[in-house]
Amino acid sequence: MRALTLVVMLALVLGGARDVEPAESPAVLLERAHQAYRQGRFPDALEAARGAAQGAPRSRDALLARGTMAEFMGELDEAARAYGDAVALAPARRAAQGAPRSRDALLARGTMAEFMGELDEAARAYGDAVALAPNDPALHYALASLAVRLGDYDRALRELDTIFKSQPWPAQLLFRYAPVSVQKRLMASNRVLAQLVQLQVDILMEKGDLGAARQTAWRYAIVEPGRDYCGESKGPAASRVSRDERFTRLRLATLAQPTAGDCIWWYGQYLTDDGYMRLGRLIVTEALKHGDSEERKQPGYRYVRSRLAGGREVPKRAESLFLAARQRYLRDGDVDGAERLLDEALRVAPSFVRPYTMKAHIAQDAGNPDAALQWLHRGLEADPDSWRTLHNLGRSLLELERWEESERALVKAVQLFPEDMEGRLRLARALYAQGKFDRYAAETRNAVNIARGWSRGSAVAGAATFLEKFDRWGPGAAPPPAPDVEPLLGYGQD
Amino acid sequence: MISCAAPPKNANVAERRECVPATRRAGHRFFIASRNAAAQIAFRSLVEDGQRERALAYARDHGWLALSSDWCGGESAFDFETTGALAVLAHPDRAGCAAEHGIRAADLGRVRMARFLLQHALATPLDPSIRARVEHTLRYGLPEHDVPKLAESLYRTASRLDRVYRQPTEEIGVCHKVIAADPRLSWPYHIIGRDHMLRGDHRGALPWLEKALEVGPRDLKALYNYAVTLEWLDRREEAIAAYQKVLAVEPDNAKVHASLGMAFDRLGRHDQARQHMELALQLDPRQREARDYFNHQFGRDARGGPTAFTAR
Repeated sequence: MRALTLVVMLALVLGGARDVEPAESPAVLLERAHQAYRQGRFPDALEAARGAAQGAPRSRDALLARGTMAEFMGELDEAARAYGDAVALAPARRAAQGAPRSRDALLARGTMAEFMGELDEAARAYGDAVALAPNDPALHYALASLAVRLGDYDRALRELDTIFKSQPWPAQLLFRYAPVSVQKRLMASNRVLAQLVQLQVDILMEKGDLGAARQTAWRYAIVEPGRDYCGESKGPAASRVSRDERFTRLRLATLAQPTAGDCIWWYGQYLTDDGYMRLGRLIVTEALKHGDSEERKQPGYRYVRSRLAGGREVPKRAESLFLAARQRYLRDGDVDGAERLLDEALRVAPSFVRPYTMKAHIAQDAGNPDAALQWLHRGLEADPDSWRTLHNLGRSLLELERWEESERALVKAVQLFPEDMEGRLRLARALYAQGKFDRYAAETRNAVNIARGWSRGSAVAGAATFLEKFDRWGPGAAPPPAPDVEPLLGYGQD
Repeated sequence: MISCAAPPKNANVAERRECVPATRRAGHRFFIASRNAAAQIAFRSLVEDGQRERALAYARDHGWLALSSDWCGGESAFDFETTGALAVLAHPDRAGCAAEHGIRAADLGRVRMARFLLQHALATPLDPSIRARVEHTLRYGLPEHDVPKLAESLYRTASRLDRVYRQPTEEIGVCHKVIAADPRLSWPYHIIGRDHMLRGDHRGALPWLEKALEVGPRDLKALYNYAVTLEWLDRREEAIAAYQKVLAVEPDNAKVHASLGMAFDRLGRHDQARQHMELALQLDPRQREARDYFNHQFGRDARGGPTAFTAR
């Protein structure tokens, strides 16, 4: 009987084994995919990579293999999905969210929240972490960072002071009383300390105390006497350095050379491009105190009017929310998160125009041009002299072939920024469509001349050729081109 | 806490005193290493020649085996190749600890030593991720055939002329000797091609890289540079196919994802460009090309720091 049972069981097991073939592991399938690919059997490679990714949907290697093979085979949607899944395996935030309430977990959560623009969540996490470890310098640095983003500069300086005071007393003595020559060596040998001083200088500048920022920069040898930082940021040699390096040189020129109005002016434009409204306004205003006659300062005044909210103060919290929202939308593709932050920014600062422009951008990308126009109009209600809003409105209206309205918006845009090459070419197109050919030709000629002056001639070559043909034979059936032209410093990135 | 390996100039007396034992050990190691500099070369030659017993006896005769009871861990007075070989010979059951030494040796072109260390490592239990790297190195980081000793030695000379002495003219001369000694080795062709690339002569680089891939189709470095060269020559679709071939073998190579992303971007295939740039950054958040790409597209990411300067 026993023997019979054993035979029956064996038969069942073996029969089952024949019916259900054991599935291959994702690792085996992945290796098979690689092998098939090497041997040129691409469909087999894709099939194996698909199996590997289905068997191990959390495996980055399997997802990457599937993406690569699918892309190679022209299955672009499938590749996009696989790559997207691989990118979505971002470990830091999940770990921070699921972690227990330790100092490390809270700091990680706070840092991530701050990065994402969730400023209240960051404040709560840092607050809880400080309660657990009140003397932790990393937490005080995090609090200083958050305070800067919220515009609480005094609090930020106090937090930095707490970190300095937590150093051993010989280091504190050196830091407070040693001469500049010693500070230079101290900063060179202690990078953390040097970074803290750099942040302190930035905070003082942003607080509006440029004098104290300059003093601190001298005191801690961030800038050297007699060195021409402004000169280093100009000329052919400077044209080869990266944008970041040039930014750094202009910052040092602003700190070391209070009369170098042109470099201070450029530094302000860099900051404005990057979206730092408060510091941009302070630095541009500082630049306008120096140098030329009132007449030559007119472009500067126009810049403040059209790019810096007419010199009105934008709450720092709104600025920080906008900065984070922009990157969440553009880099992370997080539409909901970005829109939530932009809404919050508008609640905090209803007259801050950049969130309106960004909302319009999102609506336009979502295929809703009417909503985009509404946001742009609301932006102009908040700030009627915003060049970017007018420029974008003119562009959107042009795409909808609403020529007259487009013309009105673009005329004002180029009045506020006469070197707006792209705006002039779009205006020219709107004029052409309405049969206003003389003005079309004048605007195009203007744009082409400006572009050639700024080494952007190739970008407007099509428009120039069209104008030549127009001059020779008169208007034709096709509309003139209105290409994208790389904007000048101070008018980009938004 | 300061690092005793490189104490800062401003370390105080107490901190320096803490470092005394470590400093003494380091001095002793330096003494041992310098006294055995020539012997290490002889030992490695025996290992590379397959004379394991003689190599082990040589190490024993020189008193090296008494220096350490564990060549897999702790500090070693010898260079990484000698240390790895001693680990394999002294503890064959734990030869896996020499895996990293083998990978490094392969990266430096030490074909025989790398193969010795990696094959022995592979014969022991290994962490799956290390095993995968060892297998990958054996398959793609080393030539498939046995490289004559003369060719390997000459290649090492060429490599030093390139990496240490920065003498490209002499380096190319030596590469031609390597080719004469072993025409089947892809590396010298690749080096000559790369030298043309560095001089901006991409048209001149192409035949050398093609030759490298003809004799060594698994040479991923040559394949990558081949793709770069094709891109320079405006043969962008072919460049993309070549980058994809590298990625099929190394799907987690951030640099290649970034290069492929740039190639797609130049072709106007912006969605694919962005996908690869995102992958490159996920695989290596510091990947410069991908970071520059996003900064150019979307402006500086202000989230990286509280101020414009610290965010950079």
